[in-house]
Amino acid sequence: MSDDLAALRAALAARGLALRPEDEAAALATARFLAQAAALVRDAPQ
Amino acid sequence: MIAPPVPSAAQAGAKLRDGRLTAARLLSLHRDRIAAVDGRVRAFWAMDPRADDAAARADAELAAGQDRGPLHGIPFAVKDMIDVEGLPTTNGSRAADPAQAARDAEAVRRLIEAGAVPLGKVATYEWGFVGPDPGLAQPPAANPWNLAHVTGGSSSGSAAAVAAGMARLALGSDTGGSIRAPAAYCGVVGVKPTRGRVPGEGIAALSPALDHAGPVAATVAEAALMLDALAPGAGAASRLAGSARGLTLGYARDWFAADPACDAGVRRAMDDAASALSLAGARIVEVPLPDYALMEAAGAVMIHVEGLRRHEASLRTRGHLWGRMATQTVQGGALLTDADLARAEALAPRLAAGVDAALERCDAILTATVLTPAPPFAAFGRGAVWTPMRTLPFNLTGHPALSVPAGLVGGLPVGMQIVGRHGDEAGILRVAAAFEAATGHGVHRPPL
Repeated sequence: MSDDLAALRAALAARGLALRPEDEAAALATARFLAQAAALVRDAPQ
Repeated sequence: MIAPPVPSAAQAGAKLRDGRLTAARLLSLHRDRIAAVDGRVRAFWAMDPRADDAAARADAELAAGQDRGPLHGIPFAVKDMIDVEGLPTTNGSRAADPAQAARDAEAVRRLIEAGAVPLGKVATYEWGFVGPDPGLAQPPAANPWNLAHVTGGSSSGSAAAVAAGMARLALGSDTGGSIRAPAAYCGVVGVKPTRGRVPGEGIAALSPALDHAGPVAATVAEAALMLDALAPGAGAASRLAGSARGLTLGYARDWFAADPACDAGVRRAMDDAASALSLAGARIVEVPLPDYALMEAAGAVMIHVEGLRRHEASLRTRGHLWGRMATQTVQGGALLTDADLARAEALAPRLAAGVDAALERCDAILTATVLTPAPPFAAFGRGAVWTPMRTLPFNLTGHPALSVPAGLVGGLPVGMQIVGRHGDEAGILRVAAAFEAATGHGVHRPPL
């Protein structure tokens, strides 16, 4: 299991949510896109 | 014979007032058209049981000399994320509360107050997030221009119903482009007003800072009539007569055309659109806008943090009833933090100021709504499909923005987005009306 997937599973578990195996790939793709988005926002001049 | 598309609000209004048509008969024409084509389009999910009484009341009032204005007796459809009294608000989800709404959303109430007749509820992507998901209780609406292609969303049924001639007016909601993108894909007019201009009471929230409600309509004139009813004081319909002459329009070409995902046909359609407005008397200047990727990033962070917050409890207790696409989208936001949200919110005013600066150089901004025509359903069967568009930034900044038909690319519609100063819906509708009159794109209808 990738570190990203483990982190996503853990974050969901902390909210009482579980990731179905059939949802893993798509949810992980969204999470990676959002991680890049958050980084772009974080690094933008405020 | 297949029932023809329903008449425009202006055509119907004239006949209602000189006695050649009744609101009851107009309602019947809508139902005939729905019966004829909606089996293929799948826009309508429920019919409003109050419609006959509302039409009868409209007729009685006109007979008694009481005229509520240009929407008197005109039917309208409502996206199924918006409360309509006596019907459940399904939000396109099996996990939604099945109870009937106790009262109309304020936007619906205002349209009824203006004399419009509530026709029924139309399709939405699940919770307004993402689609088309074939695994939901209702199959997704199809694009009337080519039934093998998607409508876009999430106001999928609003755009499909209007494009298919089953209604001239529909209410939609837009958190990242959910009115404008399906309007562009389906070849109709969609307006996202200034943030706060149309009340959100009774409309399912997705991301409160980004949520907007507004009209989907067959023509610019009808969108303006609807907006005037939804936002008293907008004064849009009375300003449509002005031409584009004397206007300075900023063309944000690089903002979309430089994206490798932009279809060459969309680029050509947009250049033709700018030329048409120039020939109609407008001065066209190129304007820069803030970095698109940054605007999209900030908006995406906000939608996903707030979306997960809002739906977390439902996912925990009723997650087995959710569709896969919405589940994957919402769960994908779990790694974002409150600090991410705070940074995105803090960035929004600076990005809005960048759009304001561009609008100091022009009366309105022209850019593409979507960067491709509507993709086929088949593409989604092979996994997630990125549908590039340029809509989310104006949910973030709150500027009014609309999509108006800008021609066909490969037989499918595309839209031009027109963005204005805060509160200036009338201004962007005026530009859209001038464009519609100059090109005739708005009169094309799908071959249903």
